[in-house]
Amino acid sequence: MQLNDELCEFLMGGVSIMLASRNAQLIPSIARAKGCRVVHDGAAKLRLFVSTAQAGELIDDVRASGMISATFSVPTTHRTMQLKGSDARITPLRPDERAAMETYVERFAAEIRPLGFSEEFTRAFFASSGDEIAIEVTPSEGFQQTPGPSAGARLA
Amino acid sequence: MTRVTLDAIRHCLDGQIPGVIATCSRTGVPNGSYVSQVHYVDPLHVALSFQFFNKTRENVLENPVATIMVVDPDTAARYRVQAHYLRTEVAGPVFENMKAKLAGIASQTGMSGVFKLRGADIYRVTSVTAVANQTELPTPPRRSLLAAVRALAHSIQQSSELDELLNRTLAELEAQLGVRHAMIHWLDESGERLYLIASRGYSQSGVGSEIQLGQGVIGVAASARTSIRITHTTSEYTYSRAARESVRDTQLADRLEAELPAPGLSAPGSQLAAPIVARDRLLGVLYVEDAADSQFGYDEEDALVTIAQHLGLAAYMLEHSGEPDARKPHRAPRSSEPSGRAMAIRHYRADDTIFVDDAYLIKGVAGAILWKLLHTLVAEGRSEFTNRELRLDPTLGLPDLSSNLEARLILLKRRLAERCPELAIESTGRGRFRLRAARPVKLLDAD
Repeated sequence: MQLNDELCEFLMGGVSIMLASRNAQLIPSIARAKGCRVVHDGAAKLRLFVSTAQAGELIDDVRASGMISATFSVPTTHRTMQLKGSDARITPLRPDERAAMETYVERFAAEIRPLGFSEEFTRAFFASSGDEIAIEVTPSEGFQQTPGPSAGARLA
Repeated sequence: MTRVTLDAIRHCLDGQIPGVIATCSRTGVPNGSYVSQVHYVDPLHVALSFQFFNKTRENVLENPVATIMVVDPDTAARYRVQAHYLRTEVAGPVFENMKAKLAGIASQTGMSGVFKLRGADIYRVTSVTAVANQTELPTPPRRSLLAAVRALAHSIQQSSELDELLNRTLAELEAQLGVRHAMIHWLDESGERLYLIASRGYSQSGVGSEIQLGQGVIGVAASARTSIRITHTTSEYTYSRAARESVRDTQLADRLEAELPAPGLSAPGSQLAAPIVARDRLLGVLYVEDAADSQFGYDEEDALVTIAQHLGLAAYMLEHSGEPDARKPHRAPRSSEPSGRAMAIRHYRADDTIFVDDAYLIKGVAGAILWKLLHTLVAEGRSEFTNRELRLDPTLGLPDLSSNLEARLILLKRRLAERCPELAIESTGRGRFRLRAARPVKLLDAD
């Protein structure tokens, strides 16, 4: 699917990102991502950052099935979007991606500060011990998920 | 992977940070979604708010396994809750509680009109685990609610009369739990309305103000017989609105009553109501509120429910401990004879409404009681009464439950103190009282 500039900016902004996958028994797994980058290697791809220890079973499930869903939501406006792909794989971080994670945490802290969450809270929420990896996936489907009548509509 | 119990993390289920849920279709496509409300039902069950027909719902109907992640709003710790979808409830205590809470969340997040509860999806929890290797902020110190409830329970059970029991409960709620705004409503004889019988922390006591069952937090707590807790401001459930809506299209007497100043914070951030029940009979509702958001959590809800149950049993015990006591009435203090201009007291038979010198005073059962007392005072010159004679008086038509009469007398006594201090009801011992008139009275009966 196409990712236009406006959408790329949304995905890489101070949005909350949750990831879902599943195992062979179709039991779902869940993790929070620590930022996202959109890269263009031919097709547009998402690189979703997670701490290996914190993501737990989701990493195993992605390895085994290649299936992933990433849901992006702006806490202050509830604008929500979900992208899905079936070719997900675990890759090491690229050299500039630690800085990208740091920028993400700062943006997210700025986003939820008006809701009463301190920077200290946000930093604890995203703290990890340097064991981060990137889940790389080509999004094949996208859905509008902002609460309301158009929730569930497929993105072009 | 650290296993924890669901009740140990239920403060994470209060909507400050929305939970997220992962599900999977039968064909193996995972789906992620944000959840407005993950509600703690009991140590083995949670309920999720069902607001829209969406992919999550479609998935759990065909593959009933879900993994939910919730966040501790104090420590930032995350927990994975694995759960199995069981059923959807569209009525009953869990549904009503979630509906009221969702209205609060919707109003706080600008989603009023968008968020509407269609059902409570009940899930059985199969495991709860803390996210590995995470960083947690220290837990803020909390007071011991059990110690507070213990002290309160000890104090209120010493009460020898309903009036004292209610006042002590409100005073101890403030002293032991720091609750500064509280009300107690009693169920009326019809079983369809509640009237305010005691309050604390308001500029107007509001005693006598009425609420229809099902209206607002208090009315819903009564009709659904469940505690209702709202953690964020919402206009839908405020007291003033409930009281206003309770009198639409009703009798003149009800409208007169509704024009009296009602208590209640104009914009409560936190609200909590618990039914007062004794042996399956609903007696009333205990309600507390606070101007700030998120003041009452699951633990405070448990504390208030326990207090309301203790209060209910204490009221029940008073009702069944016999009346009046063998002690002699308190000696009547030397009272001055009525003097000055006579008060014109007008009684309207249709709804027992009473006006004093053209100002509305009271209506209904309390009005009928006052009229009866005044009649006896004028006709027989008797000012000493027992609860028992009123309870057995066929003209008053009271149900044979002493708590109903006692509650009406409390209402009458407070209303007189606030709006007609020339008439007063004074206790002269358990189950006995005196009607004192500072001025002569002239009784006028009207249709």
